[in-house]
Amino acid sequence: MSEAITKTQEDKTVFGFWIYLMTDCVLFASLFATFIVLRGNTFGGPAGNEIFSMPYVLVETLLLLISSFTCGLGLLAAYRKDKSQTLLWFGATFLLGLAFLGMEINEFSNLVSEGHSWRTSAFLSAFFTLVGTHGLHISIGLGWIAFLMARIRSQGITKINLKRLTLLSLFWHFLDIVWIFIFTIVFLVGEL
Amino acid sequence: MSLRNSYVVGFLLSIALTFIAYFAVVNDWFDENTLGIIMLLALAQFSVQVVFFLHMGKTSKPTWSDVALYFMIMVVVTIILGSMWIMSNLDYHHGDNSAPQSVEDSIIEDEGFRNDNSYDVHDNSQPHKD
Repeated sequence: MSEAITKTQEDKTVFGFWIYLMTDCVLFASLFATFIVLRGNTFGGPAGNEIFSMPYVLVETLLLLISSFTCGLGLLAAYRKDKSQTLLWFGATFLLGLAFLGMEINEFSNLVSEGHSWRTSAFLSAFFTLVGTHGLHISIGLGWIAFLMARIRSQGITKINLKRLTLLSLFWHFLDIVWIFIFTIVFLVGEL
Repeated sequence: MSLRNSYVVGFLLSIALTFIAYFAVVNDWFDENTLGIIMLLALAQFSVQVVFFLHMGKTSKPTWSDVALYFMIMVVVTIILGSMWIMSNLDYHHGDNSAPQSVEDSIIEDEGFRNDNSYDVHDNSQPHKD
């Protein structure tokens, strides 16, 4: 089974997708750099530790970590050609991702309704851009999971679907890694 | 290690690292060292996820994917540390929106440096353009 994954990872499609992920990291790096530079510029508005609820962010982080784990288990089930287990684990990943996205949208709309929108200060502009870009990636990932689950339900675990699942897992683990840095740099450092 | 165990170990480690970082900040465990420690924890978390979830670095020779990863890390570190360095230097020379003269005074004071060939910032006898 280990060989199966190694062999797939040598695949050109997977390598191409990997290159895309690396360039996406550079996109996030520039948003992180912008945020770090602007995080003190609150322009009379609130600073991070006045508007973020740490337990709320911790729950978001745990949801995403667990979804990364279930995504991995789903891929293993797909390599075993176990269709129902694959659908089960990716279904769990989808629901956890959806819960994460719901929490983030709720947090954003609370901030805006309290008058702390992206127009308040450079700090909040940078915050909404960085966290919003991650949220956009999560939304795309959720659409991708739903699409692949429908495919697998109708076609079964074919070779092409297995490759697509491999790419999807890479994407999902990657989003989890980006979130770890958002969690640390935006929320934990903001709370210090 | 089987792939299943790889995911389980990676998952447990990442949950543990998240909780340590969280409570280190919320309960202020390390005083002024907290910033450095949570940065190290984030890097540890990154390594854990790359090794146990993305299964990188399992081959004896580095693959092209590994090379792309190293290159990405180099670019990311350059962008982030470079921006921080340049912008903090700009801030230092721009000051806190105060008059140019007081900024220059504070820099001269801070660096213990006075260039006698340039005009004296305290000399108000020079004609002003306005």
